[in-house]
Amino acid sequence: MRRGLTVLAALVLGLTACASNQPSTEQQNQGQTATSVGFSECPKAPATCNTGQRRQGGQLIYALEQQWTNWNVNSAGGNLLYSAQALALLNPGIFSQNPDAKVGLNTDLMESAELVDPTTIVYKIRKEAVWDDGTPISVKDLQYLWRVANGKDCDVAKCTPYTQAGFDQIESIESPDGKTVTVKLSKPFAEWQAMWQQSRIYPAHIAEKAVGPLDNEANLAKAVEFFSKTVPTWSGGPYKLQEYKQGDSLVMVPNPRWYGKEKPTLDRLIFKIITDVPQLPTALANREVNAIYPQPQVDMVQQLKQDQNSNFYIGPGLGWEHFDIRTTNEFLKDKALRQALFTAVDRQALIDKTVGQFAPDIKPLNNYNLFEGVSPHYKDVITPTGAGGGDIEKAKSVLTEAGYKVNPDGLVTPDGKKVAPLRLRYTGGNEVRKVMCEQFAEMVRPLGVTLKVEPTDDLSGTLGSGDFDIMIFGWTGTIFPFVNAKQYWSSTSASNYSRFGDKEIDGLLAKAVETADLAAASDLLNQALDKFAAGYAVLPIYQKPTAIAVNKDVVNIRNNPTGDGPVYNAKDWGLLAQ
Amino acid sequence: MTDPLEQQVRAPVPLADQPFAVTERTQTQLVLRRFLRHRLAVFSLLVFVLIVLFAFVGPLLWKYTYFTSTPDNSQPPSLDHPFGTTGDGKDLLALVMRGTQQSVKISLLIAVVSTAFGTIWGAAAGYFRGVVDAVLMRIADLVIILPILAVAAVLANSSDGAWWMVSLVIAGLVWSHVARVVRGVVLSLREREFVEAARALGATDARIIFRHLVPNAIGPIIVAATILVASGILIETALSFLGFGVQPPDTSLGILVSEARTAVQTRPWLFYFPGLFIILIALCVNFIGDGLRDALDPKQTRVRQ
Amino acid sequence: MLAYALRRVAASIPVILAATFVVFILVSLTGNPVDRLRLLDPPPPPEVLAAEEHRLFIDQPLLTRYWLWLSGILRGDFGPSADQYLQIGPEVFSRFAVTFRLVLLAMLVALVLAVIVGVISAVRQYTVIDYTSTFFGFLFLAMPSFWLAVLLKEGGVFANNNLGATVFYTVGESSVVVEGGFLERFLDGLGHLILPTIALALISFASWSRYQRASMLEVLNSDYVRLARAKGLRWRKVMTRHALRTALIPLVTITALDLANIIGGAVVTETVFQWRGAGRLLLDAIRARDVHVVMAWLLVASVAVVLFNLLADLLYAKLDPRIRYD
Repeated sequence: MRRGLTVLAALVLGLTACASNQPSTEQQNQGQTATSVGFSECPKAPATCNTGQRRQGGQLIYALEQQWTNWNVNSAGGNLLYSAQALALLNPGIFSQNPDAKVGLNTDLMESAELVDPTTIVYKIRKEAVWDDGTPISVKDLQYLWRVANGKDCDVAKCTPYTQAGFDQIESIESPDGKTVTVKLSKPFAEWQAMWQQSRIYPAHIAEKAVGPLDNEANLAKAVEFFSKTVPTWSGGPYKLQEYKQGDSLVMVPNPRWYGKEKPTLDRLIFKIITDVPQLPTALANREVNAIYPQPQVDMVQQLKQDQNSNFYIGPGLGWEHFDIRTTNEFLKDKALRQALFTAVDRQALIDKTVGQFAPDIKPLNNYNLFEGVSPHYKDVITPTGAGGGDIEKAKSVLTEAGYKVNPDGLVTPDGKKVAPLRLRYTGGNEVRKVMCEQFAEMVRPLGVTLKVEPTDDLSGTLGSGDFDIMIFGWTGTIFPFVNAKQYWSSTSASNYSRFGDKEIDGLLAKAVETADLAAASDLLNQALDKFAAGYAVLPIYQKPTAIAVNKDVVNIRNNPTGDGPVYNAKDWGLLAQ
Repeated sequence: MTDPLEQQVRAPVPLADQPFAVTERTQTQLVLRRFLRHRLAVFSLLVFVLIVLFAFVGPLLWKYTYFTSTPDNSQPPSLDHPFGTTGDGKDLLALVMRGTQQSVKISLLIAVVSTAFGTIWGAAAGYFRGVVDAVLMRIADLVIILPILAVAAVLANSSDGAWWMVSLVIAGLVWSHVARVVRGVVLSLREREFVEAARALGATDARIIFRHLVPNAIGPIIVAATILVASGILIETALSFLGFGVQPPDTSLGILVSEARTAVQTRPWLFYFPGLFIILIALCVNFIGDGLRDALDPKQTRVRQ
Repeated sequence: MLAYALRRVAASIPVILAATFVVFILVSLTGNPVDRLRLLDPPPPPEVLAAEEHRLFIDQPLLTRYWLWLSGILRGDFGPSADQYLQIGPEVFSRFAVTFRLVLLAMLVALVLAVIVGVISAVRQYTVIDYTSTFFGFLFLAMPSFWLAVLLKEGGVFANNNLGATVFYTVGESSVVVEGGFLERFLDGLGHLILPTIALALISFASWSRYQRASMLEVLNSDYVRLARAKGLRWRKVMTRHALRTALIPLVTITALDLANIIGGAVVTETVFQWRGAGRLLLDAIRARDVHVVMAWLLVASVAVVLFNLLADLLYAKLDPRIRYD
């Protein structure tokens, strides 16, 4: 039946095709494309697999899954995986996170970056490094970043930094010549490299021209807004933005003033926004895009395996999925209810129903930041709390002990109120998340709690506005756990969407960041996470596998599970030399 | 998504001039006999009844429900799961039963509500004529100039996906077609002698409309209602496909197709079964409507085979 | 003729006004776009929220808001969008330009096919051709457009693989960058148009070919055609000069009446093929409860439908000499 109908459709199409079967684009000549080495080496050599000789010219279309309206990746509202990937080509960073989970200095931009004593860092920016209008990339740009993020020069509510970690410890940033920058810290910062890695460098001189001198709070806030709503006309990276079609595509061409050693070979690098993720494999098979980096799903993996013209790889990821409970909800502010919900969830069952089907090695994740196999200081902080084990009887007794009544027609709180249906939201089109939500709803039904599973198509908007009771989403892991931990779990952080936390946890998190010794810092972090886990506000589910699929003639692009994503080496991407 | 209604209900002809019991029965028998002669329509009616049984009785008999998952993930059709299973181990047969149930329920309610409303509206317009007619039909015209699916999406967005809300929204947008059909019939009927007689006997307007005019327009009304079931199903599934109809975790045929749109190559059963059920239902209803039209409208029979 | 056209346009204005009024009230009651800001954490200062509500007229009574919107329209201003940087007017028109390209082409394809198939199956009544076309007519009539569209997409990829070249595109309305001149751009656009056009056309084609068949049959059985034949006119001449011309008339009206529904169908087709046309604009606006964008969308759509119907009426007069407008 299936064959028959497809053939029928193809026949109909074949007939219409004859009329227009002339070469219409350069993609026509794909009959005899060369084949790259592919991803087979990736498990052993994640940072060098799929290397190949590039030819000059050609275009590459890389699919992004979400559109954005905020162009400032350093702001809380603009820090999205997809915008960050595109903008990384325009706004450089001092360090990069490489596919082998190691941190590397961006040697195009930097001569060196060294911790000369525990509280002094000296950065040397290359003299050649300039914005594409010729203005040097200099201390000014770093000072702007620091001022909007340190919480002193500009109120956090006004400048809405994505992270403050490290910046709030900087006492001064000075430079005699603009290129050699000395940064003084008030106290040691274990992960000083993270500071200038997760924040991208924006051209302060352009903001200054638009809003006035960046020396007061009002102008700093205006500069943040300027970078948020302005489509970049500048570039300090290998490519520059030639054309932006709102919500549809970004066309990048090589930056003529690119100062790096390796020049881009592509004529054009295009970022095409395709929000309906399930369509990506079809678009790839059809060569309408040449590289995709989707969250793998069952059908997608099957489809990609069948695609003869593309290479495909699933690797372990640093990103991880979790349920966040909004603890400001009138019912969910009670810990007993949260504990009961999380105790009733069987995470292994969630995995078996979804990602386990194409990546059977996945196990429930038992830490928020220090992952097994990545960090030597991994500690299981979840199992002791009983969350995620699927113990429905335990969950019931937790509720009963707290004074709840588990009635068949609904749960009643100790003060006699019926628990209203709670909204459990996921990103529309993400089948894995949807199934997990449905399973979650099913698992807690015996408690008399109704979870209404609802999709959203605006992840950051929904998170930022708190328009959910429980939400499933992912954090992209980085190799800097302490900075992230502080950002995600501090009770005052805008990125802590559960809104759970207390002073004690905040203190431990802050102290971990300021501890130079890795083992001691890890221990502090684990203490904080133990306490955080006992609040039953966030439940880690699993470490997401990442999938990358590219046409066979595309080289030097490879899986990068860190926050940088595959674009970490976009300047090297190209089409294979024949 | 055309307007099959207007296409099928062309020149309405009144059933009988006298609403007397004896004639009425023979008339019914006549219609029945004519309908039974239309073999395709009878067969379709049979299939439709089976589908309704499948959707409403099936879930009571079938061992799986649409909301519980089994350990069999992504299984192709087998004896245990005749339609196969979804990725999370839900039995597709149970899901299709539930989806069909939702779709049939929604489209029947659409047909009932919009037919009732449209009949009253159209009868009033046709009977009173003049200004009333002009005003009523202008209002009915509102809906013609708006894309139904688009407006339904706008309006359904505020409902929480309850099946009857979806029905009412769609019914609110398709009733005008019935109104136009009924108006046409009533316009020609109201000049007949029996209406004049009733009026002479002192019957009220309401009595004339409901006792004399509407029963005589019943043929075209039934055909119109039948066609509404078919277009109702297509609109509802399209709405659910776009995410504005029935909401998960409940399901409808539109949602099932939407979720399976990437599985065409890899797990084809997920895509084809719900889709084929939509086609089957719409096809059956269209054929039934065709048969009814031929049976209720002797003039048309000549043209058809 | 011109007077008639003007009168028709004038008569449709109250209908459109009433339609916009009803929809405006209903959409406004479904939600407040500023609520999203209200939930931000930390929430923006009350003055910001108040200013935002003022910008969107939400602080006004409902009827005043409608009046503000309406008077704005008269000045060519579509009102403010919840997305502060969005200019509704240019956005709606550019999106509809994309959609109408699809809609009109699909109508044209459907119309041509419907006339050909309808006429042939009427002339060759009760033959294999007739039965086949009747069968497919009913099948397509019962087929959900989204299902068909997904299937066509798969078929397109299948065909591309066998042709060894990308002829059919499945994503978007054009390639991001097309090298070459007008011809290349035209072919690229065509490659993107083919599949959605077929998906959209087939369903209208199904019902239109049924009409065409019925009206052709009616004409063929009419006395004047019989007379023309009896006079000894050639069959071909009877068909083209007498029968076909008359049989086309009903289809003109029906095509025009269907436009609204085809636009609705285009919303679905655009979703499947990821077009950035009017369909996505509407769906996004609905989700954001962006009243003025929804209103602008419906206004443009309904004006298009009214104008199209007017055009059909004028064409009707051209085809049917019995009808004169004055």
